[in-house]
Amino acid sequence: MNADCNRNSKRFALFTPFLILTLFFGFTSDLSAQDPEAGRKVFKANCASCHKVTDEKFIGPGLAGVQDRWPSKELLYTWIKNWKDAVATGDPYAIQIQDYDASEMTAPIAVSDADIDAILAYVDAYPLPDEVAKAPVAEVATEGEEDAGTAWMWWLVLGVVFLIIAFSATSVRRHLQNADREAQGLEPIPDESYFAALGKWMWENKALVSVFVIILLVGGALDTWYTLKGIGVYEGYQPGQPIEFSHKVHAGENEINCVYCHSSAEKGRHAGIPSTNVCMNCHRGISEGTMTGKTEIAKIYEAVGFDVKEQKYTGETKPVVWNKVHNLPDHVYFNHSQHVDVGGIDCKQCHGTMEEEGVARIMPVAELNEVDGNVKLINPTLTMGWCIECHAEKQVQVVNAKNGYYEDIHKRFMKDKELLKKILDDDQVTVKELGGWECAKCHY
Amino acid sequence: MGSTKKYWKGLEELHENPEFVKAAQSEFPEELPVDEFLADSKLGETSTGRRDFLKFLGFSVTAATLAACEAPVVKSIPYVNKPEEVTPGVANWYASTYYDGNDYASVLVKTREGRPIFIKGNKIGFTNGAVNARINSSVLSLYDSQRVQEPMKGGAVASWAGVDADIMAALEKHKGGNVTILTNTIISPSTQRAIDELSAKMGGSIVSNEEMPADTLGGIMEMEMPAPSEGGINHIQYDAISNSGIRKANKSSFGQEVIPNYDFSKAEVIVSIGADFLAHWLMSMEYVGQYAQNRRPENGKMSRHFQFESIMSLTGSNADIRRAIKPSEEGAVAISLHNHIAKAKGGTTISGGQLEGHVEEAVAMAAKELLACNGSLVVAGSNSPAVQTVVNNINAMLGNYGKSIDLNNPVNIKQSNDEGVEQLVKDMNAGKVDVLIVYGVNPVYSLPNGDEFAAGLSKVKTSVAISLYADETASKATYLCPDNHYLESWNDYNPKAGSYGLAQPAISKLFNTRQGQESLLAWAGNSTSYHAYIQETWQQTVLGAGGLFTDSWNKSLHNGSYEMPKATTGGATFNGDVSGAASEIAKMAGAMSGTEVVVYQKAGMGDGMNTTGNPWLQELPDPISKVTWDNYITMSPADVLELYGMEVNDDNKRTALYIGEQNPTKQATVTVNGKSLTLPVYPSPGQKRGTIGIALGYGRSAKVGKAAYEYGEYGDPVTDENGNHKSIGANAYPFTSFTGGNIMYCAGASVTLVDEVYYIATTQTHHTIMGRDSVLRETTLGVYNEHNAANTYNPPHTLKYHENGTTVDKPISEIDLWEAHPVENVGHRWGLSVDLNTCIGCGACVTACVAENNVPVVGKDEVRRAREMHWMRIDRYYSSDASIDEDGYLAAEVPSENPEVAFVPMMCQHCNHAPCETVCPVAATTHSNEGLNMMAYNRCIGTRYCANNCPFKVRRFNWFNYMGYRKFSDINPAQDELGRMVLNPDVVVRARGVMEKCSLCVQSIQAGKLEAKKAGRKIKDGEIQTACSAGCPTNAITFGDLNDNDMTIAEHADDERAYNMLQEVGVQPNIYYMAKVRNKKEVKKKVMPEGEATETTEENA
Repeated sequence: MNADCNRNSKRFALFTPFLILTLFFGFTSDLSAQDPEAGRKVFKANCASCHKVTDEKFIGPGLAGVQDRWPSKELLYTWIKNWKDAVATGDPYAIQIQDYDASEMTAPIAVSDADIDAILAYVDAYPLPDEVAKAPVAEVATEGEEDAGTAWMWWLVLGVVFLIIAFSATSVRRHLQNADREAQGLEPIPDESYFAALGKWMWENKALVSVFVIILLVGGALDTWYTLKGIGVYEGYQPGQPIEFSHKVHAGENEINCVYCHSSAEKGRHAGIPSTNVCMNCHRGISEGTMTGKTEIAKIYEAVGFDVKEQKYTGETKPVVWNKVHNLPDHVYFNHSQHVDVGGIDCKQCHGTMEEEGVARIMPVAELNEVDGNVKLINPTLTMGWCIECHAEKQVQVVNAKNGYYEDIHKRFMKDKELLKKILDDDQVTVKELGGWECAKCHY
Repeated sequence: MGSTKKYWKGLEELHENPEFVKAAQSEFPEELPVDEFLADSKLGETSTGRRDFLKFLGFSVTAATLAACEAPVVKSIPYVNKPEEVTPGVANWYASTYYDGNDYASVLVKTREGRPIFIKGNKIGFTNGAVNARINSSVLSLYDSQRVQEPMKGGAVASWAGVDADIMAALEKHKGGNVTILTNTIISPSTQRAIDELSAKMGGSIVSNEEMPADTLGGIMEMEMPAPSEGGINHIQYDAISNSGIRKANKSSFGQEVIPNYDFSKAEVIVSIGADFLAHWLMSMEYVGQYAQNRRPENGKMSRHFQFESIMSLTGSNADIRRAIKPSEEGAVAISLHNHIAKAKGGTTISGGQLEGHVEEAVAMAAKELLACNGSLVVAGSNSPAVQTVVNNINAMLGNYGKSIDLNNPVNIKQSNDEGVEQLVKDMNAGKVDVLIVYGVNPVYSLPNGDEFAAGLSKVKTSVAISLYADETASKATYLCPDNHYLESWNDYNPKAGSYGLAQPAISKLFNTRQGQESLLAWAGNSTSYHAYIQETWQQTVLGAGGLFTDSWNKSLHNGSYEMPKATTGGATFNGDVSGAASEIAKMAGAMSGTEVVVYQKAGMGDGMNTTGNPWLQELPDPISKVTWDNYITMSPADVLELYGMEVNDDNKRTALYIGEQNPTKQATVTVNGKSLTLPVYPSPGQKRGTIGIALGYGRSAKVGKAAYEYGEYGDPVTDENGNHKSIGANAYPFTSFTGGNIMYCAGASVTLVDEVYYIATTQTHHTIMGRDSVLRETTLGVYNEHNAANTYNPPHTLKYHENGTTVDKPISEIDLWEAHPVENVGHRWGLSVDLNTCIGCGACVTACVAENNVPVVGKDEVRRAREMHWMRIDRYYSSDASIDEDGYLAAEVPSENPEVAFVPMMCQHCNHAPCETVCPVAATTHSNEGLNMMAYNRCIGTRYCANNCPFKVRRFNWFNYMGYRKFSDINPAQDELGRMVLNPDVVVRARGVMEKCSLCVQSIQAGKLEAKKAGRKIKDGEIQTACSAGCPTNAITFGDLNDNDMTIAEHADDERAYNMLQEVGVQPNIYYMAKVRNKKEVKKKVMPEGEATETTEENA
């Protein structure tokens, strides 16, 4: 027992300096006390969840001009470190502001006087050069497709001009010929209409005309075919949204996981558009953005009924009416959780690099194919061909499955070795081989 | 030689009359009057020239084409504040309770995004997961746009504040006067408390209904039971279907005016005299499970069920031995049975009990078995205390009290005070009633003297109705306070001693309605929400106060029910007056004359209170008659022929009584006590000759749902001679009567033929099995117990096969036309087993399937044309006296006079060699490697080859756009903005021109598989349920994976009773049926006395 005690105390002896060191490095900063840059760090770590640097109200009051509000700097230090001590001094200002908000300030807060000085320096110096609001960057839409779209018209105009020239040339030629014939004393060629002339010409050049007509017909048929194939294909569909939500800022710059907002993607058939209370998890504090400033975020506040000035919910809500981007026909059943949770498919397989996008759009298959690790597909996004193409290639871990469900299914397959061999002829079990191509898997 | 003869068109031509000549020339004008048209000076003034017109035409065509190419904009609105428990696309289930005064069951409500869409039974609670078609269809009535949506005063919309002020003023004014509240049986402790509170405010301190047994409300009574005093309000409980006779008989027999708790699972022999206990009698949803428990022959034993009744009821159709009797003979059967038992037990016999030979024989047999068995139950449906008294004595002599009958833990439903309501009608007409509050009942419609009630209502100074619909009564009341639907309400129940149920809302209120109890509380000056009020009641009585209240409350709410320790049951000493009862019975039987009419409840309609306007229930084929959308007179086929003035013989029965699409029936007028109604006649085998049956619930005259009314061929309302929208059928409640203070449901009537044809929509036109034993296999318990299935009742089919020059019989399973589909033993193989023994034919599975799979309602006209869309049907077969071998096929088409009935649920058989798949030109129907016969609607082009090739006729074709065509606008709920909310979002709504059929609820299979995959485990037995298996109250339908030997279904498929339907066709279905076993010995034919048809009866050896 004695030995035990000894060992424990020894361990403690070793541990203590480590603890002190940790505390030292953890809670103090070795940068110079008046450095606003250092102040920003401490502020972000300790204060930013409740206070703003400006005079705006958040959960606690805005910090701008805080020094002037307090009777003495010492009392302010006391308040910040542990506001209860400040109240205990009986100072009237401290007593007055303890009822500022229903939620209590954290106490104690482990900051040194030097830290506080840094914070105050930061408050005074705000905004630091890199915090000056950037002008909103307008996203320039690519207009490349428009050029391709109008090119044919120029060809048409050119064709018409060519025809006019050709007909005029014929007329001129006839007149010249007639003049020649007149000179030779021959009968002039009767004045025939352009159509009659064309008919005659076509009759004389049957082979050429036939080839031309065939090309025209085949081309027309092909064009019709592709037009028909394009019906119901909405690649690149990007409707405007009531809130110009930027996936780039959220999923890209801030690296928020997709399922943080689209949480039902793991639970049910719909990925879901996040409800505004999810937005408020972060935007309770973040009321300004780098791209559009306050306007877009203000729309969230309006929807959820949040008064930014008073930092209070008014109870007057107004749901956001979004435009749905990925629409499947009524007769298709698609379940996100089957793919995300069970299949472990990355969101980018079907939605591409959303972290580089603004408002959502249907990513064309060509762009999806450029994404690393994606199964390369041919058919346009969100068509049935696209789905089954992937089902034909994607493999399911059935042999030695970690999932008890597939393990059980595999055991049953083992009963019919011959069939198993047929399915496993390439040593791989695809979704298709497990029935992923069957109608009633998606249509019911 | 050509003829030069000329014919003139007339004298005008001959005479070359100038007018004629002109007319003849212009007969076919060669020139169009273009110039004339263009010369019209007005033409220039029109704003649209020809060119403009063509331009517009061209533009609109192009625009339409372009518009069609544009992506449709779909809006999506997420929650502002998403409730934690809601995930879009994932269903939530809530436990609740159904009670409407007639049915009681613990239920589970499936909601999607806050909308209730499906109801099934809750296995927790004494109803043990049983629901009937009425209960599972009740989800549709939630979305009925004909419900009252606003409080009304004198027929005009009013505000709640205004209505409340008026009613409270009236109550204040008439304090001390006659203030009456008329309700159905209140089994809710909190509702009772609210009524008491209102009563207390009115100066009384009484719990009003004197007829109420002391034990009705369990705990609450012990707590606060003030002595009765003057003043307060007069509370009368009244049920459309009254069972007051049982309570009165128990009062005289045992001194307890209660309805005892019956336990059918403890009865080896059940004798029912006119009690339809599987369909609606008392706690039918509890009895149905108990009954089925003893109908499984696996352990060599089955209960034996005798039924004596007039109409072929659902219960009667399941009986082992059934005898048809007149309603006036019910007493005689009871007396005869009594005397048989009394003789054996050394008791005193009573006079009466003269019966026809074959009935007497059955009674004697029943008596013999009752005496020999270990546990039995005798029940009677009659509302006569005399009959019930005799039955009580039979049960007492058999020692059933304390075993299958429990007087100490009585049932609290059906406390109808028939005398009270009879008196009320008199008081109202005498102008004695100052304020009348009608709550949950519709006496104008359902009382025997409803018209008198209506007349009296106008003499009541202030009349208030709390109702879901502006029904026959509520529309006549001054104030109409719309009630919440039960899926929008909180409530608590005490259905029997020690058992409690809770109902919770599964959706917020759709309209400006208010829960009835909150109305009562508001008038009592209490503004507590009813939710808090219930909790208060439970805290005081049921659960008791204490720190753990919230826990136990939450648990009870989660379970939907709460069970308290029960009082010990015990025997009872019979003190009744049986000889007095016998003379009463004789008197009653003597009073009945002419044709005896029985008014009964159909499985779909029940008492009709909240069911008539429900299109799912209207379209549900009646389990026995298979008629939809109609009310009719059931009559013995022989009686129908007599009514028609035809000779009673088999040929006429087969041909003259055949009812089909083009074969209408005739109508008859039934007159009882000067009241008459005209309805079509329906020949119903098994009906006692000289009796007729008329179902309740039809003949509405108020807004109780659009489906309660008739529609023409193009969906236009059919009007009667007064220009009113014509109701389906006629109201049979006026045929009931107050007899000795009890409402009686039979009467003497006269029937006259109306020589007018009437088209009936029936889903089954052929009634006998005609020796096709591969469709329906049945045997008797004796044969079954020999366990020699292969040779006796369930032999495998064989085919003659030529092998090596000889003919051999080869089992079907060895002969394959196609390569076998690899589903045996590999992966999943989904299937159903249907136990024909426990299937009682009630039809709950059919409506469950309709709700789950968005099956459209098509209406009477389409059903008559055999275009019903139900994915599931229950074929009902009558036995025939004739045998194919001896009498030939024609004779075998005629059902027996008293047939045995078999029910065969039919759905897609999911054949592994499906004939439908091979004929589809576009491969719209294909086979899955999980054994499912899949149907891709969007690939289907509607050739209907598959339907033609299906040997089971289970495929349905969408002849119309049921979601849009006006013919269905009033009957198909999917065309109603609100009714559409009941659609299951996981199942597509099929378009016109495609085939559809049972998918084996593939959406549930996929969902169940996904759950298992997510949890990383194999699928558990019973985890996945199809709508029909979830809806079956007797668990006759089992779903599962045939390849999983741990599942019940694998066991069922290997059972000796298991067979595939039409096995000889070799289609290898994945649906297994389990042969029906009847608890009887061999059947012999016996020739009945003169005038009676042959009757099958049992060898009594």
